[in-house]
Amino acid sequence: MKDDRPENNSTFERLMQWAKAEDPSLLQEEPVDPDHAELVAYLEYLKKNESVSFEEYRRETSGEKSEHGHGAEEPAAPARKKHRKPGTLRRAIRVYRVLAVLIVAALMCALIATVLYMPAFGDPDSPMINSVVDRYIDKGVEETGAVNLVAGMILDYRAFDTFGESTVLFAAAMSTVLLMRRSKRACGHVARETDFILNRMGRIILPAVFVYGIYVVLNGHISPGGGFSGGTVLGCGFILGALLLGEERMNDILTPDRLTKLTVGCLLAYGAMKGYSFFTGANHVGWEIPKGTPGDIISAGFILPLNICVGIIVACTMYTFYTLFVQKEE
Amino acid sequence: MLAFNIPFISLFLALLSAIALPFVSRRGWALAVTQAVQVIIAALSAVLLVQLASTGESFTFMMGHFPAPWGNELKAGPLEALLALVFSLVMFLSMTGGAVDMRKEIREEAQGRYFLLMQLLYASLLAMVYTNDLFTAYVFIEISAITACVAVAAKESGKSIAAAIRYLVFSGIGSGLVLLGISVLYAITGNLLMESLHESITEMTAKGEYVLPLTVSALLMIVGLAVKSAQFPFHSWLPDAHSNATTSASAILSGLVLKGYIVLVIKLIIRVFGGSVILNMFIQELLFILGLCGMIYASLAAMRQEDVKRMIAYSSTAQIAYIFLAFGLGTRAGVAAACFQVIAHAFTKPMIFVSAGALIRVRGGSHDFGALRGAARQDIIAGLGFTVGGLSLCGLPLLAGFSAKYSIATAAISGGGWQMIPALLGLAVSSVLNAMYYIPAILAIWGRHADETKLTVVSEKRSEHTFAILCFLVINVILGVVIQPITSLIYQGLALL
Repeated sequence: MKDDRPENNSTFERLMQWAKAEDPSLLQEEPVDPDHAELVAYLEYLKKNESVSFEEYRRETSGEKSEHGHGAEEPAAPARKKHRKPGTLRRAIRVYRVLAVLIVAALMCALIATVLYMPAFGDPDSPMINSVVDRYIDKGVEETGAVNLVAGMILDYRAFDTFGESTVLFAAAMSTVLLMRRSKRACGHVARETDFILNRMGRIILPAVFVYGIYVVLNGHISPGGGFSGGTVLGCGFILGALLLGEERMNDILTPDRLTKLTVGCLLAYGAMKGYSFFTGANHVGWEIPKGTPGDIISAGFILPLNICVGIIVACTMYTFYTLFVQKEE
Repeated sequence: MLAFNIPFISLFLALLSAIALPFVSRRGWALAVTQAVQVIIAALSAVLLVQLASTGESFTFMMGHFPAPWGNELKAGPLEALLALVFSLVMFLSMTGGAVDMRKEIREEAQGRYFLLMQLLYASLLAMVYTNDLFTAYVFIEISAITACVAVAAKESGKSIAAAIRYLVFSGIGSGLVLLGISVLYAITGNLLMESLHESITEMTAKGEYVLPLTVSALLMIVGLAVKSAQFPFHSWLPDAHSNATTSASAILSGLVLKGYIVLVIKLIIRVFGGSVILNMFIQELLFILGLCGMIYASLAAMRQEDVKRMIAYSSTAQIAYIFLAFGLGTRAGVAAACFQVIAHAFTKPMIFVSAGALIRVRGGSHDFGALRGAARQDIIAGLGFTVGGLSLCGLPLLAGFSAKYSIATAAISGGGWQMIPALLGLAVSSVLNAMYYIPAILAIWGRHADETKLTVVSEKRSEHTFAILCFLVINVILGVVIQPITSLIYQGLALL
């Protein structure tokens, strides 16, 4: 961002020169910034040698220069006059570091002071305990049909926020796919010999992981858990499966295309279900989904299918990330 | 009855069309589907705008079976409808104008995902416009942060990846500050709905309780949003990110994404903190001074650029600083002027980016002014778009930029106070500075190339960007001529916000 051009003509003059077809940038070679040149040389040096810190490298090369004599240093000096002195960058970085620490320290003090003035955690008189929370606790089971109040809140009272959160996951997965997936020929998978201990233990654990994940998802409206936590367990199961069977065999079952379509299908189903209940709710159409008996597995209206959708989205997103990060760089 | 459902329908149409895009197998159709949705939403928003402006009312839409403090809620008034209309049109025109560059600069297999993410970005902007709940706003801030970073990185050149990583860090810090601010506010009020927050805050300031946490949370949220909308001194990510993205992404990022966060700042200032309270917190003065510095600094920095897209990107920072300066005036007229600037810049900057993209393409992809000399003679419409856009931002009468500057100036004069003189001086100086970098650039693109025989003529389909630039031109002139009705619409919208 720093302009290192000689300052003999003003910016405005240079701009007028462009307009008159005498671009100074075409006439003058851009002078080399000594700091930058040094960094480039260091990067070159790193390629040839094993890791050396920048400070060590400087010490070595400056030693070399003084050993090899004086020829290189002397004529370079007048040329450097035009630019900032060598070392300016390092000094700027040092100032920057000090400033950064000071700013962060100031922010920390401000936040600690804020916390001191805030209501104490768990204080029954704090403003956080108001009619909003009371209604969730008093009427939550009756209004949503979910014994797990958290599930009732995130998938019924504030379902739009949760739809947004699932879309965040979807956006993250699609972004990673956009940036990291190459065509099939360009990428291969790292061939990995399955470890003996991993193999034996994995085969014992894997079914339990899946059963537990499915249980957490399906019981999301009755007991603690739900789509997000159960989906994470299922995603771990997929990753463990890929480690055991190798990505190739896992890929036969869960191709990247199928993973995307599964995620998309679940998110669309989520959108359709919630779109239905938002629309009917806002327009007071009625047509509510029956709540069932709270505590039954088939109860709480849309919460069970929504939990299943969220669970599949989370599991597929986790597994997609895994497959993208293990693929071999070409 | 139908108009009542339009905010919900627009949001869900945008979200579901983005999500369903992987099912559209033909590549050409993906762009067509997203653009069709944008046009439909623009038409729906126009219907909503006409209806709400004539009846002069705003309404809330209950998302589900539970009323507001318990469930989620959308709110729409004339201003929201106007912004949704502007965002949809700019989105549609930017995607059209950048289509050729997009096909060239993004890998073919990644293009479908690019459309998907841009459509999600659009949906998140709509959600920020319509939301009535701070946490919903935060969720959609996250979506726009992720998708905007990928919009920069999608070009997959070394520079754009580096710029995207830098943007990601800044954007993450911004989101983090906003979330901290929201959680402090929730801890002292127990509400997330904007109306309930406003009630609690007025009650609290009347009693004099929780002054420090309130100030800190307001500062955290506004600074977080300022980082994300690249207000000086948090702008250093912007020139790299906006100049290294592909044309449509540059246009959308500086035309719309920055504005989405500014819409939230407007909502915070008016709907949550409610004008008078924020006056006592020195935030107004802070915004004013930062805006003033930003206007001058960014214009000076733009003058030093030799890369045309970097110059345009710096000019975005200067234009964003105008908006914060207008907030800093502390009056209703100031916020209205800021809204006008949001709309004017949303239509001007994408036009400049699309035109610059076309000019760069004519000259084989070089961003340098030296290489672009005389490029406008090869693509007259793109040259015209760049010229009109540049002059509009310099404040030439009858163009959108002039109307915006005029509104800010009148707001400064009517507001009085110590801000009047610095604001007017700042406007004058920065207009001159704008002219000092846009006019040489305009002269350069219309000038004669040193050796015209050597130029290779790139023949290609031009209908797409020509159409987009012509639409932008017409809207720019409309905004420049029809100041009064739009201003009164904004006032009406702000009163109903």
